[in-house]
Amino acid sequence: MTLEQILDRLRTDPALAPHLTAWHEIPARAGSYAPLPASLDPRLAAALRGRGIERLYSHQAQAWEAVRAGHHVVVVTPTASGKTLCYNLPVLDTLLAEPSARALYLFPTKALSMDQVDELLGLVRATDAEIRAYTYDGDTPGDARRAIRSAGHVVVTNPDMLHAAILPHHTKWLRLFEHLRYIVIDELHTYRGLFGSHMANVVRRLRRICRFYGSAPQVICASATIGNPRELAERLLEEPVSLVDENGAPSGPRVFAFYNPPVVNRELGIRRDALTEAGRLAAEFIRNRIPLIAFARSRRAAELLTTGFRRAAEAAHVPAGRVAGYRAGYLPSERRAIEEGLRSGQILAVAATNALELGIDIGRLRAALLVGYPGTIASTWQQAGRAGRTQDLAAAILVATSDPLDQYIVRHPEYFFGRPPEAGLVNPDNLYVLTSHVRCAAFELPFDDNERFGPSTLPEILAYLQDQGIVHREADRWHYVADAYPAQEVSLRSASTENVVIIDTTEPAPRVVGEVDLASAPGLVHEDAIYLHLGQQYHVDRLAWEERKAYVHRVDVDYYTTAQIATDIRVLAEFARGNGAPPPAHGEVVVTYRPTIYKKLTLDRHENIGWGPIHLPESTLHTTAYWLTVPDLAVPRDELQGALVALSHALAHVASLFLMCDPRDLGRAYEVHSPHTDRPTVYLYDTCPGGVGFAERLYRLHPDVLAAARELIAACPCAGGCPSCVGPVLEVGATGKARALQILDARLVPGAVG
Amino acid sequence: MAEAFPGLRERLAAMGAAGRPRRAPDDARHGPAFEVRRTIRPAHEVFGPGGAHPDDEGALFLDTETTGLAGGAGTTPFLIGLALVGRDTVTVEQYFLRRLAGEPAMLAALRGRLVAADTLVTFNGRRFDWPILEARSVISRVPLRPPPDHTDLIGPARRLWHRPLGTHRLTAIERVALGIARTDDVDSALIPSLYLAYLRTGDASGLHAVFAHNAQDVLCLVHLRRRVRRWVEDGEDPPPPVDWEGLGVLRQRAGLGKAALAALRRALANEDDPAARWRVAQRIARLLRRDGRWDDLLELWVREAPGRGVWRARAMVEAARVWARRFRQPERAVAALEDAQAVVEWLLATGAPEAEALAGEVRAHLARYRSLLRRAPPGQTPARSRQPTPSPGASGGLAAPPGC
Repeated sequence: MTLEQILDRLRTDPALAPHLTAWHEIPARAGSYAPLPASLDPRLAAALRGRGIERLYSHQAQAWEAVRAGHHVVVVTPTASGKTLCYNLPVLDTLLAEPSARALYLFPTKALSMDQVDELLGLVRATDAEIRAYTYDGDTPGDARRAIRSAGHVVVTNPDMLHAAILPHHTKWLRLFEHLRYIVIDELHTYRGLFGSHMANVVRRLRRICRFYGSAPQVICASATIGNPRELAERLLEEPVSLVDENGAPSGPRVFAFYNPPVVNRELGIRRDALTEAGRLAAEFIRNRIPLIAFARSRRAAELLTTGFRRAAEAAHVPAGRVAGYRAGYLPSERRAIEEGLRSGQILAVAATNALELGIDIGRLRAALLVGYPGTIASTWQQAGRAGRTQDLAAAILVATSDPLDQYIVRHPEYFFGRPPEAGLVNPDNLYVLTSHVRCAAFELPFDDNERFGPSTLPEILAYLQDQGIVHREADRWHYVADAYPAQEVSLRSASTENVVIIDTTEPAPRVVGEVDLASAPGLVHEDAIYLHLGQQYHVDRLAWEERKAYVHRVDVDYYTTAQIATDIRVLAEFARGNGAPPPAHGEVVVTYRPTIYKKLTLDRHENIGWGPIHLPESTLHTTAYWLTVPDLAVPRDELQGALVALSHALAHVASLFLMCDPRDLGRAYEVHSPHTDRPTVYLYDTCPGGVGFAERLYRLHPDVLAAARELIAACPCAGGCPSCVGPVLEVGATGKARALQILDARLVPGAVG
Repeated sequence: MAEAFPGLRERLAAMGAAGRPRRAPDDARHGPAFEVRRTIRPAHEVFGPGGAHPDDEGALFLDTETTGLAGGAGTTPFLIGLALVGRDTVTVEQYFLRRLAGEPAMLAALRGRLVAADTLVTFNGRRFDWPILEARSVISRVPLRPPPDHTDLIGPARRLWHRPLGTHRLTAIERVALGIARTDDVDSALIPSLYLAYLRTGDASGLHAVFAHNAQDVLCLVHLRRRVRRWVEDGEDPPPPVDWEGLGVLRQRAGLGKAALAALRRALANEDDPAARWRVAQRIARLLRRDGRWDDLLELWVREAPGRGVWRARAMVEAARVWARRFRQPERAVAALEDAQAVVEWLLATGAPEAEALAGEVRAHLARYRSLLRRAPPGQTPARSRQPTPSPGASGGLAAPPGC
């Protein structure tokens, strides 16, 4: 069967068709082209022609013009639309004309930088010029580092290396910084949330160092589709940025379908397993030799899919070598071989995690299966975009799991298709993030009194650092005087560098099985907890809190544990309060966690078979929160409590949808009677100390979030609550779901409350 | 992360309420932002008997005290100690940053000294002091060029003392090798905080110990370099404890083969650890081979080097090589290898981990030399075959039972 025939069957098969909740056809699009720019260096033009490029896509030509005009630029186009040429062209053109010029390329991951260096070098070789491009990362050997520092025209690295190895040693990189003409920031969309907030400060430090060496590099950003590329770029650069977002690359017709597996247990809201359903669809593609990529949300799921692929291949007499898995944890050489196999068509089907989502070149396939909603509209489009060639028909199918987000999306396709992708949020002025980087920046160069670094609070922060013995003010300068290398203590990717290490003592030789971050540790690895890792149960024998170590041994028991952590929230300051009665608000809060007891629940029926106390110190979190005051329902207290739990569950999940964040980045709390609002109140707070901007955004999106939460609950077929909407009945009580809906309905009708 | 900045929010809130932080009063200390402290010592006090080496006069001895040990752009040298050797005197110059703003002037003064010197002498200066000075010179925009040579004494120190002392810290070496015990020395880990306390209070009394420490360090460099030269270049014996092997290596690198051999033989005589003995024997063998001293080489493998077990078998393999290649006596080589084989078989029986590989090696050599024997049976060996001197006793040794 051809792909067309498979799709036809899918739509008409009575066993499948009813579960298709969306069938979205995207017509073919012709390309839009522009001639090679007249001002392009003839060597570069010849090199392009030699590689079969006679003309540019219109967005490449626009990017060229914008860069030539001296603007910072952000280019936003889909996967495989020739984005890299948008920056490689102006950079190489400058390097050909001025051999002393330098460029710095930043990619969020190592694998990507390797790919990009290869591509850049391919083009360089074709020009026959002496231009050297190197990756500089943790794997670069010592003697090569010296060569790169003095002779690399293009230095390709990642933000973490820039932050911890290059900027603190900027004097060794004199040649780079003195002559730096371009900074390329690819995969801009990954710099959001906490990572983006750190990145914005790394960029502040980078440009501060450039100023010291007398250079003022132009920045070229490239991004996959997000809702606010220009805003995000401008927040990172703190200067105006030109936007290039009209894609000129052609594409063939595409179909995007949503498939919601049938319900098998209505009471509990359980659906047929998404992995099994996806495996069945994949077998159809493999049997018909349709090149396919499947995305799973976890490594384990990717492995299970791969196993399914192998079986399908065997049944269809496809050689086993033509199907593969791809995830983090594979060796780089293995990954390379798979990428090459996909490009050449040697590999027919691959089951991957989002490790393959980013800009790695694997050619273009004909079908994409998304097993579970990837979490954001933006990554959904990126993953779906892996299928789609310039002419032929391509198909993407999203298979939903029973997660609340998945269920919301597949039941509201209009939300997904009708909405621009999420905005990338950053908060470069998060006090903790900012203070960390002020400290790093002071290490790099003394601060002058009249210098600016982010917001106007700089003098206060420096005065604070002086109190801490980190900087010393003398005349009008602040000098770094501490005996420490500050970048080492600041991780760009997490708020806390502290983890609890889990040590398995089953065998005589203890073995580290994993880590949990400090904040989650009290709930997961308290003494007598059952900790799950890769499907294996471990009993926690001892949690050495001060040493950050949990000692466990392997067990096989028929129960799991769940910790009760009392969360207290206190409003410190209210930044804004909306209209309406009573109004939503956002502000600064302090959250206190106090682990109390744990319960043992049976694996099969979740029955309570025992409990025990948890003896751990309480911890606090200073952050920002959005809160919502609930009208007093005239119901008993425990019913009200159930309603608040239900409401916060649904709100937190839809909120993560709007915020483009992991649901774990949002904490939730409620108070039956809040001393601050004097009413029942539900809080959603940023789990990163200081906040990365979620609270303010939620405050602004308030009506949308409420409407989406209402839709999620109302459309869920379960009776009294399930994990897909408000959480299990066990947690919300018999009336929780109904009461939550009642609250939302009341709130959505203006004037109905108060 | 929040824990990294205790009380940040509260403090900022308090500051916000009280308005912008007041401009800290400019330090009341007047005078230049950096100062030079100079002391002159008679040369004999520094060097002891024997005096300076003529080359010492062109050397600039340097040791810095810094605001931290991490390195990178933000580590500031606040005290640069220099020593200059004259005909009868040693001058110690200390550049001290009274205020951080004095750094460019301090580096400019250092530049003058660097230009005049032909060698820079430091202790760990290649990795620590110099990169820091270089970084600060870029930040202060005072370019520094290093002298043509840089002698970092940490290399010889590691070779000479790390094994016997378990450390190669300057103060430990000073005590053992130079016989100087410091009293009231400041713990170097405290130095950054002492300087910070001075910056904050303007009270320099806590720094006197640091000045003394730095002067002592830089004088120690002068003294140490002289003594190391005597031990390495002039063939004098250092006081124990010392690593004779390390001394042998240093002498060998200085092109003093005979003195190197003497030190290495001493190392072999004093060494008990079989792996270390083997390493030393290899070094000796290299020197003997270079000089074509085949009799001595055979003596080494037959008498001096062998230990027990694996080491004995290895020595026999080496001895066989010398018999076959240098003395053209394959039959003696075969005899030595047969001895090695007996040891190896015993090792195989006890399941020693290296036995398998060694057995293969012995077999391969045995096959080769036996085939040589067949081609040139004894009595018909070429006339140029020589008789080594130690041969009579050697064969007796070779017949000893395995495992001894």
